[in-house]
Amino acid sequence: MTTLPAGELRDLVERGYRFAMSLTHDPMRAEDLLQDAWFSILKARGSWNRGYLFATIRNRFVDQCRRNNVVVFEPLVEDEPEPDGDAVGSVFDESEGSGATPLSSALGRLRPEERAALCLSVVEGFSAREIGELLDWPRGTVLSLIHRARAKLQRMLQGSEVPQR
Amino acid sequence: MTEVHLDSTLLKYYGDMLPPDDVLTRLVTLAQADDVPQVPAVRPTLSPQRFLARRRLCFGLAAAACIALAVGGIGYAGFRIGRSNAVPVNPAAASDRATPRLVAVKYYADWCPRCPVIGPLFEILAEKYGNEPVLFVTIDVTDDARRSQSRLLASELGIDWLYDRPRETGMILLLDRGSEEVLARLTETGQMHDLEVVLAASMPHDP
Repeated sequence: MTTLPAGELRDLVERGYRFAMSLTHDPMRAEDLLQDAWFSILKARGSWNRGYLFATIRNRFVDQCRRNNVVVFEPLVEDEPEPDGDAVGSVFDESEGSGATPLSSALGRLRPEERAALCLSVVEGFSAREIGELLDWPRGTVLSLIHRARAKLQRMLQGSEVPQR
Repeated sequence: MTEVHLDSTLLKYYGDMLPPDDVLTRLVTLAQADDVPQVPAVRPTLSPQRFLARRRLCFGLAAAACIALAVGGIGYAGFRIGRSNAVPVNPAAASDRATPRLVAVKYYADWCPRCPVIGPLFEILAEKYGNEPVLFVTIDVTDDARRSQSRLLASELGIDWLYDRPRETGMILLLDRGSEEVLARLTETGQMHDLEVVLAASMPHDP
């Protein structure tokens, strides 16, 4: 049992869902992953905080990928081909079905670790060192991931209409 | 697009993402539960082949144990009838814990997307009410072999009347074997507390 108030728990669930979405880029899989991690924390009577939840979500994601023989979280390949700058415009991405925005399509083209690092940095406000401790990566790798993810998104979204905040 | 603009766009994109309300409510409720026992892992870390083999073995052992228990209970009841010339066993009046009147049935299948949510709830109920006169049974309909075993199990327990009514997987039913009634139903969007209220009210009380 936790003594955290319901409001803080709800906030934790929402943050966990966003992080799961950054990893999976799929609402159903993110929901599944979040519940999976939540039950793991219940079973282990773990701490109800952001860091523990995100680490658990990340570990369950890696477990699922291993079971599906999907290779993720490999070291950066320096000569990895970059997507074309005009690969995403106002055209819906076929892999995501109709209705995908240019931003959603562009994020779908990033690797899970790039999306995760970007989400933790921009949305959750973690520093590169904190992200590295969370995901068990060197700080330099985290900085490279964030930089490359931003560069890819900027190239892919160049020329597409994204509403100003 | 500048970096600042990209960051603000990403902040809005992810900030607008929210989990479904029922998922949110259920997870918060589980975290606040008074006495949450050890919940088994929703997803195993075994390879698919080993997981299926282990699952078949566990199901076979559990089914054999349930059938032995049910047959033993029915045999004992038959022995009592023969001794006392009593009327046929009325499950509603039975106080023998081997053949309880109340049965909590979990409808399960490997391919069911709701089952990973229902599974831990079923385990929580089984652990919480394990000493009460309620039998916790899983009806596994993953494939033909398991469906056949489940049918045999249901027949032994006297709940095969369930098969006459189409059911979905990923739910827990509370049954009264005597009156052939479904007393309560728990789905992934329901509240466990509601089923527990019905369960507590339906339990036989010693005079």
